[in-house]
Order: sequence, then C-alpha cells, then structure tokens
Amino acid sequence: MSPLRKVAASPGATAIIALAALTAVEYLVSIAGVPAAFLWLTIIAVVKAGVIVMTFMHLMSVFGGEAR
Amino acid sequence: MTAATITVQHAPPASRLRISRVGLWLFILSESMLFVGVLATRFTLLGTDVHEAVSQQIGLAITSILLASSYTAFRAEHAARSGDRPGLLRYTAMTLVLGIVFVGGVTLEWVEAFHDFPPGTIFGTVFFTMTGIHAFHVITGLVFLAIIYAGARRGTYESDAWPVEAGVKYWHFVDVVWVFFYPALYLI
Repeated sequence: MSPLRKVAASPGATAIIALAALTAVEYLVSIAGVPAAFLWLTIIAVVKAGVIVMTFMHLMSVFGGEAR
Repeated sequence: MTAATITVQHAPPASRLRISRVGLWLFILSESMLFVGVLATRFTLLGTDVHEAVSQQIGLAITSILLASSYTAFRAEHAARSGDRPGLLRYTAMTLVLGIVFVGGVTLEWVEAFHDFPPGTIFGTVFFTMTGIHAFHVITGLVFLAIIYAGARRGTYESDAWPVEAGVKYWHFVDVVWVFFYPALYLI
C-alpha cells in the first residue's frame, strides 16, 4: 500500500480504535457497578454512534461535503 | 413514469449521486423509527433491569465482531472509490465473514436464551424481538454485501461505486443500531 493510501485510510483506523476503546469502557462501567451507569452507557452509545455516522457513513457528504 | 423520476434521470451525475444519498438517508431515518420504537418498548416493560443469565461474554464478542466488520466495510468502500478491485473483493469478503460470525454468535445466544428466559417471559419477549429484528437486518445486509461481492468480481463498480457506498452505509446503520441495543440488552 502506498503512503498516500495509508493516510487516506487512517480516519477509519482511528475510528475503529476509538470504538474499541469506548466498548471496553462501557463494559467496564457495567461490570464495575459505576453509579449512574445508565447515564454513562447512554452517553458512550451516543458517542459511538456519532463516530460511525460521521466517519464511516460520511454524513456530511449529504450536505455537500465530499466523502473520504 | 412520474415527472420526478424523469427529472432525476436527466440530472447531472453529481446531482444524481446527491439525490441517491439523500434518499438512502431518508430510508435509514425511517428504519430508525422501528428500532427506536423497539428500544422504547424495552425500557417501558423492563425499566433498567437486565436478566442476570444473559451472556456478557457472547454480548461483548459479537459486539466487537460487528464493530470490526464496520471497519472492513469502510475499507471496502474506500477500495471501491480508489478503483482497487482486489481490495474491494478482499474487504467485502472479510465483512461477509464477520457478519456471518455475528449471526452465528446470535444463534448461539438464542440457544442458551431459550432455556434461561423463554419467549413467553417479558425479558425473553424483549430479547428475542430486539435481537431477531436486528439479526434480520444483518442477514439483509449480508445479502446486499454478497451481491456487491459478485458485482465486484465482474468489475461492475469500476465506473460507479454508488452501489458499494449504499450497501456499506446500510451495513454501518445495522452497526449503529447494535451500538444502542448492546447496552440495552447486556449492560444496563
């Protein structure tokens, strides 16, 4: 793979690492019995969905931005 | 043929692509209503309770698999845009395999669930409804991806990558739904 392609593919790599980390955090929040777990898990789920929608689904391309 | 159809067919390619994207997002939005309704039903019936017999290991494993499949789907779409046919085939195949493993994981969970919380119980009804509707969408996405794979083998998407983009977006949507279903079924 050329260096240019590596750079182009990097947003996806960053996103999947972020998603993996957030999934690990939500699992730990659940098993550790953190107070207000429902709130934290909801926030984490919204952030994860946001990462997928913005990075993987190119939401902004609908509004004129070019998908990467 | 309606006037709107004629207008879309005669629109410049860039406009057609934008119209197609808006149409797909509207479809995704309408599908979301179904899942929001199911999620609302789950919290109405069960509050924030989760059945203790639900398998945390399987839940975490299938969630990780589905997230990984979103990455390979993203790479498949990227390969299609770059005209990288071997990459498109490779990443689409990987996404298909991960999707099939996910469905296998859900099936395994169902076998255990039938003993621990049968469909007649409140949690069982909620669990089988949520995972069943979602699994049906995963299977639909797998069919879509299989069609993309077959098309990519024939070189169909070398001039127009929109079908790949549409199929991959649908796959990501299925992933987004699971992002909310996973904590609702396993963690809260």
